Amino acid sequence: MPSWMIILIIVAIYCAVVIAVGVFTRSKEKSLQDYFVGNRSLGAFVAFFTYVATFHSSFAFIGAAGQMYSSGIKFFATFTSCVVSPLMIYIIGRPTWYLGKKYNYMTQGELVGDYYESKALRYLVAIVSLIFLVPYLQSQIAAGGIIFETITEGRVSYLMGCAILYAVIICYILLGGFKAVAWTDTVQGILMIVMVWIAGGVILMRTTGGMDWRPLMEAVATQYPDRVLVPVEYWPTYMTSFISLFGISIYPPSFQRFFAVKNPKTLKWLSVTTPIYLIFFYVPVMIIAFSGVIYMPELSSADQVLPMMLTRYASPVLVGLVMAGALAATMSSTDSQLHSASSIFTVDLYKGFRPQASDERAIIVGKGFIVVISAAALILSQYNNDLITTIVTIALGGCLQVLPSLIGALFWKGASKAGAFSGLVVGVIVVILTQYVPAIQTPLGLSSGFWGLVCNLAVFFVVSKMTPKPSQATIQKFHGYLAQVNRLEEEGTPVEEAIAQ
Amino acid sequence: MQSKKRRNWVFILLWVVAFALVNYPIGAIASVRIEPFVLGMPFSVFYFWAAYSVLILAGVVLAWKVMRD
Repeated sequence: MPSWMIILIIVAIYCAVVIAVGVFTRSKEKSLQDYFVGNRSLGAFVAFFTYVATFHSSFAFIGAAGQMYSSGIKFFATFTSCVVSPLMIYIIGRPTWYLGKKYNYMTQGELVGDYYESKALRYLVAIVSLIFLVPYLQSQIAAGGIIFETITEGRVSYLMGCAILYAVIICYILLGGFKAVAWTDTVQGILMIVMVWIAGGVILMRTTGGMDWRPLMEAVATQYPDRVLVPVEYWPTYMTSFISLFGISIYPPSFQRFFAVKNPKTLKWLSVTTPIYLIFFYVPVMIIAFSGVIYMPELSSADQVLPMMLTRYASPVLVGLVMAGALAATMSSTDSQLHSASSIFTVDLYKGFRPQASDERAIIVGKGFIVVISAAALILSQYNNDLITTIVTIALGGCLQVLPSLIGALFWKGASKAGAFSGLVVGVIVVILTQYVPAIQTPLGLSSGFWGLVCNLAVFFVVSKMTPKPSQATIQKFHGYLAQVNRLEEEGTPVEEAIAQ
Repeated sequence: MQSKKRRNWVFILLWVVAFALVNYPIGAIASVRIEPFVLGMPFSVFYFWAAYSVLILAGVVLAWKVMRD
């Protein structure tokens, strides 16, 4: 049997397993709370893997190896964001969880709109999130299409690959909602880390004849010392690059998990344990990249290093399994983005305009949105659309602009509706300008998301100081409640039991 | 209460020190040294893996001792 067929069979089995997991873990209930946040019942194990699998997209497999191949350990700058960004799970996630539990929130827009007593702000947050979220889907589907085309040596076309990827994802999202997404993410997260470690070990063994990486490291240090050093002039970039990825933990798919976990303790431990997965995922990736530096130094595209090293040094079965892992990385990010976009559309926009609509009706609308938006992404993925590429580049920075309004709702009583609204608008405009206007492009080498946030915070603070705050009742509803939670916690009273009464 | 707050600040400070290990100037000094090899890795590579591990550990201690819930 030819290698490509073995690989394709393994990937097909993987797709069947993922659909089966989605079908078996789906909930029978038909409420919005269940479909969009899994009835707030996510345990620590599933929460851990759904978060890390959503965090790591196909970039973790293909792009990261390529960057280490071409730039060496300068790539380690990414690790800082892998440690710092998850801290937001606790800082923002904890109060968000308590408010979500008490008032049944499911999205950022719902929470922010309720605090500032503004439907317009709720819609604005939803639209900003969708603008920056949906195009991301197109880039992920394109990655899936490329993977299929590569592993079958062109026998499955790029279009067909994209279509298969989306058919599988839509299948389990429509059937199972959030629980199916979370459980398939868990399977995918485990598959990703297991396969990348096996791939690293096999390539190390085949290239050096054993599991000792010293000969490989010595060869790299001798022949390509620049790959194991970080030059002093690179340090400003090294120290600030995490800021551009800071938004990843309040990116809507990640944020939704704040509402979905069973208790805040889960969030606390997620914030400090997920970096273990996120960083140590890159140990075998480094081995593969450095092996590529020595044994395939002339690759035309750095991103080819992982598939090329596998093809040369691993069996077709292993290539199939690792490619299933890469596909898992793509799918686990895509399903979360798709599901999150659906919840924003349904909860913030549809229910915002039609609050009397039943849950059953809203879920049908949400599912319809998934089908339509994924079909649109499928079509767009067939074109090299500059506008889409543009939006994807600034997606995280764009979503980060919701942060100041969240800070107001969670921590600062002085925030006002006008401040949140104007800050968000200014932030998004600054992100776009500092990314694309040559005269003011990424000043000081800092990301457009960072500059957007700085301007956003400044406008948010100044305008809030000058304009009316939400009503005392609303401030009490949010800040009074959170203060009560903290007080109970300090007194040693079991908080969850006390607030449930 | 005061002693608890002081203790919390000590743990936060520990995390900040660990964070400083992967930043300028400490990280920069370590990142330009190939020798000695430690655990089979050039010093710079070993240093970053070790420093990020310490940073993760500092986070776990922070969660254990300082973070609510």
